[in-house]
Amino acid sequence: MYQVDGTITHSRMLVDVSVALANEPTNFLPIRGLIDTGATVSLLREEALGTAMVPIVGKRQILGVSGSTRFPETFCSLMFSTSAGPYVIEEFKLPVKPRDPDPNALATYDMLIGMDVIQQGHMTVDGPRRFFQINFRS
Amino acid sequence: MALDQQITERQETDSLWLEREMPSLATRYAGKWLMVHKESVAGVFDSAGEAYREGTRLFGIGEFVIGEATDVPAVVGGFH
Repeated sequence: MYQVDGTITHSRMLVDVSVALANEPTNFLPIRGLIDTGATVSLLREEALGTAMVPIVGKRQILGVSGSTRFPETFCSLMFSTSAGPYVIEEFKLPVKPRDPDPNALATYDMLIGMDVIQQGHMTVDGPRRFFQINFRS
Repeated sequence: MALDQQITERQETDSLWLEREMPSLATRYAGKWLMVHKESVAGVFDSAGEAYREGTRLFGIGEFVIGEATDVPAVVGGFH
């Protein structure tokens, strides 16, 4: 069983994940993901990719709390560290939020992990004990 | 190079076309992945990977877009 364990901190579920863009499929970049069960899609911040050249495969309208915005989409693999070793979600289309023009803008996570990822496994949230688990199908 | 500058005119046009046509495409190709080139469906696939590989092989990066045939909107609550 590929199990990801995490703790709930300040009412947020954060998890370590790595992302490899399609043009550099073995170069996994470690980033911080925020589990968001209210998001139908995941979203990556461009800042998380550093200076990497991002292969674009489309642009998609995303609805957010402040309206809708069209974000570029890239193609990548996501890798989670689990109790049974790395679990990789391959060939994943992922919207990317362009870099914030304000260099001092605060971001507490690199990626929102939405239901397009979560629904690939079984997720358990234990609020009183402040932990969560995602069991990906093997 | 800024992300928005990496999007080609072809991709901008094709992604707008895909969004515009999605209601009918979602009905016709529900659950499939579409590869779009020059404002038409150039291929229908079972996975995003197949669509990406075929688009890259036929047209090269920057010359196509891919999308899932679905009428479910993409919603993200808090990307600020």
